[in-house]
Amino acid sequence: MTKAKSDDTDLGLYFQAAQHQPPIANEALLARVLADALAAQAAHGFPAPRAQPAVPLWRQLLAVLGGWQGVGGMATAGQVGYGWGSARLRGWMPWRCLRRRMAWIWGSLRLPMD
Amino acid sequence: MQMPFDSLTELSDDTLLALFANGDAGAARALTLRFTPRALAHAQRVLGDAAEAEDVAQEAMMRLWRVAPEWRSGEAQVSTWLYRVVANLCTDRLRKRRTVAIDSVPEPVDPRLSADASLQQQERAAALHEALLHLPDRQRQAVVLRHIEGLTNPQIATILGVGVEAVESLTARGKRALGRLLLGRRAELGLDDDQSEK
Repeated sequence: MTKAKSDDTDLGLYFQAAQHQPPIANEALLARVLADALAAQAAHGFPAPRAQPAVPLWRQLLAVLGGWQGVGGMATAGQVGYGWGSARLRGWMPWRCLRRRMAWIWGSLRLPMD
Repeated sequence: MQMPFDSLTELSDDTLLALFANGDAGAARALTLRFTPRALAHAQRVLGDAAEAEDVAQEAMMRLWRVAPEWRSGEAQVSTWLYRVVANLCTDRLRKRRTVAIDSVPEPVDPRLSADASLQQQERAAALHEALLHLPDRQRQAVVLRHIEGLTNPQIATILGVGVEAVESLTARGKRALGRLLLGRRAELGLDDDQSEK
């Protein structure tokens, strides 16, 4: 009786070990099985799912830069920076240029300016 | 209808199979991941050959894809049906060959275990697989399904196409034979230590 119980315990340990060491389904097998599944669906009249079209590089860059608004903001900032820098090279004081430009804008709007 | 893959993993086998039959590619993926490992595990434990087991698992899954449009929900469990297909495919292959390459039994490592414990578990699992290959086909299938896969006797009876009493007899005889086959390896596999610790 004790021996039978011991044998059962032994076998239990073997079974436990086997449960902890399951054969692993590798990626290649899973890919083959899935390909069969999709082919079976196609054979039943369901089209195989199409791969997502690749996103062009310029769209990826656009997304990174914040879309069209981001690119527009960067272009404006670039223009302002260029104008500012070139004005300084010509000996103009940028703040004077800016003041003249602002005065012209306000004047064209016919608004009082102090 | 296409559903997010995460939500599919919660669905029942029958529901997934119905979605698959309606052309849902996500259901195909979920069923592949759910059932291929089980089919492979049983085939490998019964056949003792990794490459043959992969062929059997793929063939069994192919039969599941074919039967899906005619599947009647509630009539049978998908897992039991699949085990039955795997068992029959294994029996066919075992009939075709008499010799078994014991060296081909895989020895995967469970990363959760420490190195020593893992090695011991690995050796015990390998010893069991080796001993299993000496059992008659039906006994081996019954023992693997009952004591490693954890199925119930009525489920095994359905899979093997026999009565519950026959399953009980097969597993009892199988266990006795395994006990005899493994008797001489107790010390080698650290079982004397395990017993003395208790």
